[in-house]
Amino acid sequence: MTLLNPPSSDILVTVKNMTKTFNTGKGLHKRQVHALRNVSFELKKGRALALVGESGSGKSTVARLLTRMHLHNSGEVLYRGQDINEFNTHRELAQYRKNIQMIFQDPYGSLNPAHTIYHHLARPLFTHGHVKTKIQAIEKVNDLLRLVELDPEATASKYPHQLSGGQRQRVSIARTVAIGAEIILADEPTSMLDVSIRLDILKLLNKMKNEQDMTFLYITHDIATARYFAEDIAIMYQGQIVEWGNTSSVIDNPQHPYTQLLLSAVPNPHISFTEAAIEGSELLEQANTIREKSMAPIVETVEYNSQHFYAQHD
Amino acid sequence: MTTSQSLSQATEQPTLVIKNLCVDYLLDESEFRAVDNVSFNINKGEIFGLAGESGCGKSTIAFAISQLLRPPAYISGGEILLNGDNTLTMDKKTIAKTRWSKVSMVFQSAMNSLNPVLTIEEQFRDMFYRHKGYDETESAKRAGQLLELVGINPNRLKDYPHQFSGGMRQRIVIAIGLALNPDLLIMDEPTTALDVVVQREILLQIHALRKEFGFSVLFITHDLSLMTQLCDRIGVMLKGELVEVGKAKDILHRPQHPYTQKLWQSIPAAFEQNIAEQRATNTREVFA
Repeated sequence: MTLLNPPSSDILVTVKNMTKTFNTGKGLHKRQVHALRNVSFELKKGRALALVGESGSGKSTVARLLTRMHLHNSGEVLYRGQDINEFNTHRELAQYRKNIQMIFQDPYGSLNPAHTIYHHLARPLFTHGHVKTKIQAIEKVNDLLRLVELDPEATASKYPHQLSGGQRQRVSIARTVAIGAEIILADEPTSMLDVSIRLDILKLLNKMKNEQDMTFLYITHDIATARYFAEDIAIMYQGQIVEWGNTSSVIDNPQHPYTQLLLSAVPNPHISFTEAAIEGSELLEQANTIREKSMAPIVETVEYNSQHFYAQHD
Repeated sequence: MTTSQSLSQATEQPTLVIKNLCVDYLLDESEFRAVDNVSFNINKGEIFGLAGESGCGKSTIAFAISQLLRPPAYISGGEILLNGDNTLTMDKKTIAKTRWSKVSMVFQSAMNSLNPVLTIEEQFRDMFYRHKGYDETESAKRAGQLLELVGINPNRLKDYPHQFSGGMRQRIVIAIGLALNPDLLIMDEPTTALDVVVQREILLQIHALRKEFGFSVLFITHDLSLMTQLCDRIGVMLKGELVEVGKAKDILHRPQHPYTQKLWQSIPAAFEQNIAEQRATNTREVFA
C-alpha cells in the first residue's frame, strides 16, 4: 500500500503489512481469527490519524500491537526507523513505551481507586526519572493538572471516585504527558463520557496536538469526532484498511462501498428518517453483499487523489 | 407528512399522558428528586424522544411508566395515563396485565437480557403462555412470524442467544416487545451498543413497523443527531426537569433553551453542509 507522504512531515511510526492472527478454542473448536490483515499506515509528528470501524474490525488490536502488548505475526512496525521487535532488553522496551502511551475508553477502570490523583501522576515522574525530590514532584504534578485544565489545589489530593468521568479522563491524559509520551494512542477516549463533555476533551487533545506537537492515533467509531480531531482517517473493516487519506476528502467523497455504507448510516439531523430511508435503502439492501465483498482480501489499491486512496477486492 | 398526521390526531386521545410526574429517591436523611414535575403527551403512532445526559432522569421516567421503579425510588406525585387509565392507581393484577400487552420495553443492554440457556422459541413461550395462554405449537408459530417481521429467518427458532450477533439479539428482543401488539414501545438507548450500520437497519425496521401497526414509541437516547432524525417530537431533560419540548425540526433549527443550544454546540458535525451550518449559528451567537 502506498501512503500519503507530504515531504515536510516527520514520520514517527511506520506500519508495513502488519498481520495478527489469534488462535482461539481447543481441540475440535480450534480456529484462527484474523484480527489484522496487511495493515499499513504512518503516524506523523503533530498530526492525528483516526482509525474508524465497527466493533471487532481490529482497531484496538492495532493499538495493542503498537504498544507491544501483543506481538504481530508478520510485517514491520518501525519507530523512528527502528523495528520495535528488536527492542528486547527491558530498558529498550521501557524507553519505547515511554514514548508511546495509551488512553483507554473507560476512565473509571483505568485509575486505581485506592490511590490519590497525585500518586497517579507522581509515580511515572519518579519511575522515569523526570523528578528526584517530592518538592519537584508536587510542582510538576500541579503543572500537569493545569495543563489538562484541572484545579491543582483541589484535584491532587482527591481519589478517582471523587471525580467525574470527564475529570478522570483528563487525569489519564495528564498521566501520558507525565511519562513524556510523544505518541498517544487514544482508544475511544470520549465514548463513555456525556455528550456535553466530549467536545471539551477533544479540544484538550487538539490543544496538545497543536501546541506541543503531539502525535495521535485516534481510535473511534464516531465519524463526527474523527472529522473534528484528525487530519487523516483510515476506515477499517474486518482487519483490513479499506479506505484512507485526508479526513474531509474521505468523508465527503467516499469511494469504497463499505465506507459509503458506513457514512450513509451516520445519523444526520438535517435529513429526516423518512428521507434517509428512501435515500439509503439501496445501500442498506446491499449491506450484506457489501460486507461480504469487503471481507475478501485486498488485491489492489486505487488512488482517488494524491491524498486519498481506497482498496479493491477480488 | 408528520405534521398532517399529528394534526389529525390532535382530537384523538393520546396514548400516554404524563402530568406533573415527580420521582424521588430516598436517601439517608433527605430525598433526591430525580424527576421534577415533568409533563408530556405521546400521541398515537408518534415517536417521542427524550434527550439528556446521564443522570438527568430519562430512564427513571421510562421505569415509572411501566411501574418498575424499586425502592428507594418512588413516585411522589403526578399522574401517568395510559389510554386514559391512570396506571398509578391500578391494582397489581391489572398492572401485570398492562405490562407487555399495552407497554413493552427494550433496554440498552437488551441483547443481554435473553436467557442464555433457553432457545429463542422458549424465550417467547413464557410471555405467550402468561398473557394469551398459548400452547407450545401456537407460541412457536407466532414467534416465527415475529422473527420474520424483524428480518430473521424463522428456522432459527431453535437456536440459542449466543448463536446470534449483537444486532440480531437486539432485534429478537424488539420482536418479543412487539409480540402482543402494545400501544407503547419504550426504547431506552436501544442501539447504543451497536455499530451505526446495524443501528440504522434496526431503526428503519422500527420506523416501518410503526407505520404498519400504529404503535407509539418513547425513544430515549443521548445521541441528539439520531433522535432528531428519527423522532416526531423531542423533549430535552436537564437535572430531572423537562426544559424544552418541541417538534424535532424546531429543536434542531430553533432551540429555545440555553441547555439545548449548548448540547447542539457540543456535537461536532460529520458532514460538510452541517459544518457550514454550525459555523453560521456560532457566528450568529457571537454577534447576538
